[in-house]
Amino acid sequence: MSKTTINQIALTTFRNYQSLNIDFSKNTNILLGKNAQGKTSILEAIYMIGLTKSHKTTKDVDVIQSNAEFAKIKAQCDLKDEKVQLEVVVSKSGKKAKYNNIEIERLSEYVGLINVVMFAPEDINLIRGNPQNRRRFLDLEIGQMSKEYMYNLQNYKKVLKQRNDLLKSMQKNVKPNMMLLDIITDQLIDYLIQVVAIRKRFIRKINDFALLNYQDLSKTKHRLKIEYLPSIKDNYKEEFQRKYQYDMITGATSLGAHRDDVEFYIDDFTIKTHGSQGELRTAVLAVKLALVDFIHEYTKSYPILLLDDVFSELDQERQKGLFDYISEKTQTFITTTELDEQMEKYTHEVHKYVVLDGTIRRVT
Amino acid sequence: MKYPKALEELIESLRMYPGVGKKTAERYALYTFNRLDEEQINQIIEAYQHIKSDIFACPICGNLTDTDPCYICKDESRDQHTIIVVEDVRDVIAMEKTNHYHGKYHVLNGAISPSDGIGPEDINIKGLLERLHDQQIKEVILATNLSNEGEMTSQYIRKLLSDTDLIISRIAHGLPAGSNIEYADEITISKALDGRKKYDS
Repeated sequence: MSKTTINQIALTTFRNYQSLNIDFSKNTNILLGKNAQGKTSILEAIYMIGLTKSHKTTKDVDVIQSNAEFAKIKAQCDLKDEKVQLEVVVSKSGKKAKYNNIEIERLSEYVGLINVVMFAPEDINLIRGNPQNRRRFLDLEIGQMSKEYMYNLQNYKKVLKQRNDLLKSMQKNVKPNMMLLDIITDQLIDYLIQVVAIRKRFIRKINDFALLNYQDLSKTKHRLKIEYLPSIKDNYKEEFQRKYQYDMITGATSLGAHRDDVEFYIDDFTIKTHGSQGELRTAVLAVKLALVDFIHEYTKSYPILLLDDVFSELDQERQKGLFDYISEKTQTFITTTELDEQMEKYTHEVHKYVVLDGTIRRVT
Repeated sequence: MKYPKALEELIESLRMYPGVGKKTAERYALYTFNRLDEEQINQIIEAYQHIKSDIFACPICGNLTDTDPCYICKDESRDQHTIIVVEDVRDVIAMEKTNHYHGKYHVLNGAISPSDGIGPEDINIKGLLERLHDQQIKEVILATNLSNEGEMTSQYIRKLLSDTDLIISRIAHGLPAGSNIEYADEITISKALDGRKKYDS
């Protein structure tokens, strides 16, 4: 069984860390500390070493300490049973990524070298937020795994922009060029078919894993279901043609992959409207763990798992379920403000660190 | 601190070129002063003076030329029945280098791209239709770039010609010559598979 691990990380002027160098366990690492001490920043740094950007939707440069010129993350990793050194530097003039001290010219070639899955409190927006959150999730996660998806998605977006610009120019034209609209629509449909097919395949796969994870975490027989909701079913061309006039008036494309959504159900009830807070969080967690399973199946290696403040809203049963899942499968980083007695029992063998105002100290 | 006026003017002039920023322009301007002699500079000035007066687009095919019509349109030994449609004059040069094609050309001077405000009427499609109407053309090879815009442009021309008897073809996607499949990217390989050719028995 292969798993990706970060054995050591060094941070320079990253968030509230002036300079940090610390070793980690290949299994579970728990980061303890009060709020605003720098626990999440450690997870953010690990996430960035994988994806070169923050899990937060902030600007890259925000991770640079004020008064500093750059922020640097350096990590010693085990990757497919090889020791590698990774480095990501964010400066005001841009980002650089290095693999074994060699700069990778294109960041897209660096992203995906090590896989990271993160669960943060704000991730409940995956289910409860607007559809944009769910499409971003699909594009980010599938894009990491599949170059074919990236190619089709990028071209879909380019053609979509061309189509929208054409629609806008048609508004001013007395004799709109319908033949050109028809051609661009055909081109858009070609990419759309690919994007939607890959998304549906991905959702099916994630659903299979998430269903099991949900039942394990919640210790129930409830069935989690994830469904892709396309804005067009079939007869793509006819549906688009029916909207030609409407699209011309609004100057935008009303159908397509950029309007699709994903719905989550427990036993046929939509979670967004009927789920409790606990069900919601458990469902998102089950999906994130499904991603871990998916990446493992795809790359034959378990990704690094980052769990930010995951315990606060899970009951003891679910906390235990989570620990059963992790066991020694993945290298896991968990932040928490405190561990209760119950939790101490499951975690007596794991590495624990206390995070205090930009410093870290291993306690057990 | 500024450069003397003449140098400053040269720097500003050089910056009109795409891809030339302040630093590069400074380097070229100082090089011109320090390293080029009078004769070389006159050579440059002369070349610049001729560029607009002597060169023009061929009224038939749109290729750049200093004769009317251009040497390709004039050449009667070339195949008069086949025409290749390209986006740019550079594409003509590239195709001519192959010495593989002996028909005629048509330069569109761009590709349809609504985002850049370029519609079918902004590129030389009208000239192409007139030629196809007047001349003895039997086959049209669409060789616009394999980008979304190039593809859109070819599809557009194809539709305009759908009621004619012309043979219309599109250049193929494929693997680079002499390349190893294992080094090609996924998309190129899929496209090459899609465009595979049956062996003639």
